[in-house]
Amino acid sequence: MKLNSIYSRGLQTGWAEACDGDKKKPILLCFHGFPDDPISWDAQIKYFAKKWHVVAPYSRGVGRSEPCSNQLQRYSPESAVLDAADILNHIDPNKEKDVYVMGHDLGVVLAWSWARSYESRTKGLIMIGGFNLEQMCRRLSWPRQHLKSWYIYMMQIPGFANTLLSALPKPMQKLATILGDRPEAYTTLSGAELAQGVYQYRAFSRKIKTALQPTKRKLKVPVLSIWGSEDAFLLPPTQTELNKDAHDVTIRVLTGNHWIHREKPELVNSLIEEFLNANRITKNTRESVTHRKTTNARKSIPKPSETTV
Amino acid sequence: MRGTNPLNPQSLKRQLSFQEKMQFDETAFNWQGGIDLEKMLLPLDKENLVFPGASKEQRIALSQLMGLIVNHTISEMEESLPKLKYHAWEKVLDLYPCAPEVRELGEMFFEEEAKHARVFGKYMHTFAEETGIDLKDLKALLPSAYGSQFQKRVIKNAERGGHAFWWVVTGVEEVSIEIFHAMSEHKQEIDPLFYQIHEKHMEEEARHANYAHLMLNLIAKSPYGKAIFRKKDLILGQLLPIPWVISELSKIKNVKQFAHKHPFFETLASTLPLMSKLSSIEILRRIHMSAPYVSWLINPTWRRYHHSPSRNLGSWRMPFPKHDAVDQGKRYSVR
Repeated sequence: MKLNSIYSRGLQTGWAEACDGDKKKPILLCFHGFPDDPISWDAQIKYFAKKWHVVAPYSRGVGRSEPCSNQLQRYSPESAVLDAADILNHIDPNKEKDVYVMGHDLGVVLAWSWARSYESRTKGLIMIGGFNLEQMCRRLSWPRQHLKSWYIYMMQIPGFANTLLSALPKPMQKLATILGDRPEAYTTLSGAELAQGVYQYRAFSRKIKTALQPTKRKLKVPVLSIWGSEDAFLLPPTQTELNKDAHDVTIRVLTGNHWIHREKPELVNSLIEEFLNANRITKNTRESVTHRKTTNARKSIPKPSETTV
Repeated sequence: MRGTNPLNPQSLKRQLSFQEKMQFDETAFNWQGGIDLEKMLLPLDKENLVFPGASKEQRIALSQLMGLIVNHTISEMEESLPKLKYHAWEKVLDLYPCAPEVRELGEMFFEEEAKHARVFGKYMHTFAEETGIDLKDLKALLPSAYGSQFQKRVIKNAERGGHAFWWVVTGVEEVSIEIFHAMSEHKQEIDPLFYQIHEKHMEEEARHANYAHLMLNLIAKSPYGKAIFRKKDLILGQLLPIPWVISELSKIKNVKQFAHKHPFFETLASTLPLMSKLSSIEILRRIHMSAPYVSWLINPTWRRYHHSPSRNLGSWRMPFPKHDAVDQGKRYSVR
């Protein structure tokens, strides 16, 4: 796994990247959640690097991604998508590769935003233990979800959460372990990095008004949603809930916690691989689609002798 | 019996592929061979609990009627399943869609139940044809679930978000399996076609009981749904069939009006005075406590597989009177 960075719209933006052998493979874009970093995808990066070009950006303010707390907009989903687009333009300047996007926790918001913005290029979306903003906003009427999401409200209080997380990073991360059964610390973010996550929550909450507007169209990208049954922070989705936002949704609930991709990496990897393979457009299928489109296009152009004046 | 864990994708996939491989074809039975009318359909208890002193001819007629009753009961219950499909199944899966395989297994479950209903119905038609009995007269003696209070209560419970349906299914599947075990000990005395149908039925019911337990597991694990249904639906599922079974069994008294139409009905009508040797209370007691097939369905103490799912769901359990044999851990005995 390599760590890289570029300047995206004036700010350093970092990512982890892994690709064994041929770099012409399709891209698997992985957005991590809070309080995590791309190393949280360690098991997936190692597994999928053989057949995919895995790219896992750092969220704004974490690791190699420069913080920008005086511009809350840079923590919004749209900005994260633009940062990821800049990363992919660097890796794949000709935009030849298909993109499959995956998110965990808050990263699902980013993954969904990516899929909406680049729907034609995205061939599959995997959500692990997270929702898009529209779903989260619909859950404002669910009392049980409010109880589980108490920490989001805490983060909206200016100064409070930042101070707490900066001053007590280890106890706060330990709290996540106790509350959410987070697997053994594979990475420890610094206080400053933890505090950056608060800005993400604040930036997302400012999108509530937009998110509450009725969704105009459903996502056509196939979606796989994976959940741990013992998720301490989010209730698993219902089929009706996800069918409101996407045409083709498969939901899988496994015995496990919020960090199911860390708790059961082999099982989760096999389910992801099954989904990716089922939705992978290979060179052959792409050629046959192109041939069909080209042939149909040729048929529609009249021969010069047939044109009338 | 433990249902497959609905949160375990590998075991779900294994179950799905096994079930696809092992489904029976309803055309594969030896319908051309017909029915051996000299043979029993269900072996009866040696003690003649409800018809003390019955002769050999009477026992054969009773056994054949009992076999048709069992077939028709299962067929009626299984035919009414599609009415409950949405409320009892689709809504549950919609609330907690844990895996696509659970849905596929469920579709298979409902298709196979419809297939069972067709096969049992065909047996009844074949029996009527071979004996020359008017099918309408025969059906007057057999249980009917359609429009019954039993069916209405189960549907209402499902519409409100309850799960009594799945408790009823586990009971019926378990009894179906035990009926075949009882038959298997007397294979030579039983009509071969009837035996063959129940053998195939039992194999699929074993998988269906598994699916009913899987659904109960799913309901136990789901964070949605009302707790009150988890508490009370076991008792409801155990109590609802009782009045229906008893009232449908009492249809045998109607046989008097058909006695002049066919020797089969005449023989059956001749057994009614045997019943009158016992008081109604005694008949009910025997039916409830130890009558083969019937008590297995209406007395939950005979059913062993409710304990584990009821613990998972935290269901209330009602004490039912027990037969000594239940305490001794004996299997259901016929003779």
